[in-house]
Amino acid sequence: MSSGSPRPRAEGEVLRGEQVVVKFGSKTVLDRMSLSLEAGENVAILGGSGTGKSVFLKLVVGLLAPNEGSIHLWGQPTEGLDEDAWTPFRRRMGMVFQSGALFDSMSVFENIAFPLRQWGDRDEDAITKRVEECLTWVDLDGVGHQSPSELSGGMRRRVALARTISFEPEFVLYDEPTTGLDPVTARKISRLIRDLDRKLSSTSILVTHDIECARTVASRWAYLAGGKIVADGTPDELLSSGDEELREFLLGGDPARELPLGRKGQ
Amino acid sequence: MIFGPDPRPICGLRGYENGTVSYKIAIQMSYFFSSLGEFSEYSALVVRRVFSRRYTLDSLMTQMHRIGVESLSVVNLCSFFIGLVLVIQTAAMLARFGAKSQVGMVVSASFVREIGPVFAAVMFTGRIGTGIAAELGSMVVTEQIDAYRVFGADPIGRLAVPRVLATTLMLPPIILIANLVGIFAGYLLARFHLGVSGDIYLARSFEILTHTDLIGCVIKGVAFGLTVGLIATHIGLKTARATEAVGLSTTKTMVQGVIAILVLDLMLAKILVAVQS
Repeated sequence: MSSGSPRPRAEGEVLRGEQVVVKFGSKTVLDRMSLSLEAGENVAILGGSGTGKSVFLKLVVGLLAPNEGSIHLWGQPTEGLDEDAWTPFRRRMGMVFQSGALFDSMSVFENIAFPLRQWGDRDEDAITKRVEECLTWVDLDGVGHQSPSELSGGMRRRVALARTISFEPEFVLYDEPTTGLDPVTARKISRLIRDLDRKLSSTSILVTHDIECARTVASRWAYLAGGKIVADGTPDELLSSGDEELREFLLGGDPARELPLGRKGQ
Repeated sequence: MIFGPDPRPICGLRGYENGTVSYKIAIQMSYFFSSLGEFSEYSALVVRRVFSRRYTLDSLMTQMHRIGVESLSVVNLCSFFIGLVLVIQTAAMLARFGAKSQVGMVVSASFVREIGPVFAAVMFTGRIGTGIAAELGSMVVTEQIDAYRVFGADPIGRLAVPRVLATTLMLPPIILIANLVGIFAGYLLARFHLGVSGDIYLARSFEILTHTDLIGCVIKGVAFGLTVGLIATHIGLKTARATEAVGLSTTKTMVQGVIAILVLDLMLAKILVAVQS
């Protein structure tokens, strides 16, 4: 990273989603879901497949609009904003997509430089330096000239991470960053995310059903089921919950399995 | 909504009994007009973005080169064979009236006024339009379009506009070249197979053509190129998030593109004939 010490922590509410409803045709995906985040918080939204976790992230970043309810970012309502009006918000946010979403037609270098050029406040030398720093940070020195199609799944995710952090966003959204990766690579990605959050003092939402990843990255867990947040608290609070469905999800369907508590950050 | 699901019917269809033929017709009509409205909105947005210059000159040149080079061979190959067939058909007919030497006139007029622009545009839709729809559709499926938006880059300004401009600018010269190839193919057959004098063929070919024919050809090229570009980028950007949806988008581009070309051709033919007379 460019700065040696963590960025000063911002204060105040970053996100407030209230009574959010999202419907696709006759199917209600989010049903009066509410979630708020203070600056510096790292929240993991947990839940099974198809529960609307990624849909919520897309609402936050303005890729979808809710049918009902509201999303406020840094105290500002986002209802009815057009693409241009979203720009000031998106300048402060980064998103790591589930598939990486690297631009096929560009090299790795061009991919990471993309947001830096887009937000346009650095010259080419500074952009080159920054891209190299980011590649070093994700342990991918020397791959800048390669095409995304030449990289493995884990490397693609790391490039996607580098692209997102390149402009040091205040608020980062991670959409299932470890899905489809082997356990060793998934652990590596989880640690990278944790280090990034610490270094940037960023606020983040991690959407995942990987409990290991959530334990490494997030200090607060929110469990999404039936279109609502049904449990919200520290990992210890959720793990000691009496809710059968939640316990089954967290313990991976194996009630005999014990999850060591309070290991975040190890 | 440019990014997102297809538009819903514009009316509530009250008074129609669900499941009846009239209901089905009404809902299809309603979808048609909703889609047409959305396409018009998209087209207006693309035109506005042309002037807001969110694309780079580099990206425009890349698209023009790609679109021009990729389509030339297939369009010209078709023109060549159409030219040959046209000479065989018309020469046989003209020979009955002892006017075989006039074959160049018929081939040239048919090509420049009608066959050249329409065939070239149809082949262009199949080669380039479907390619654009597949490319943008794949970017939707792999979330690259979402990434563009999240990083504050406008996918319409950055991706759609250079492609629409390139199809609009490249189709007219492609049509003109296709016309020449078709007429030349006819020349080869007429001279070496049918025994028509080459000089007479060429003289008759260019004698029949007027400035209006050439201007009409260019106008048709611009109109068809713009339409194919708009349809292909619109369908591509609206591709659903499923792998099979990319295939569906290419098919839709071909069908809608060809229908639009034929409808436009009819309208332009009417206008150009009125201007000529």
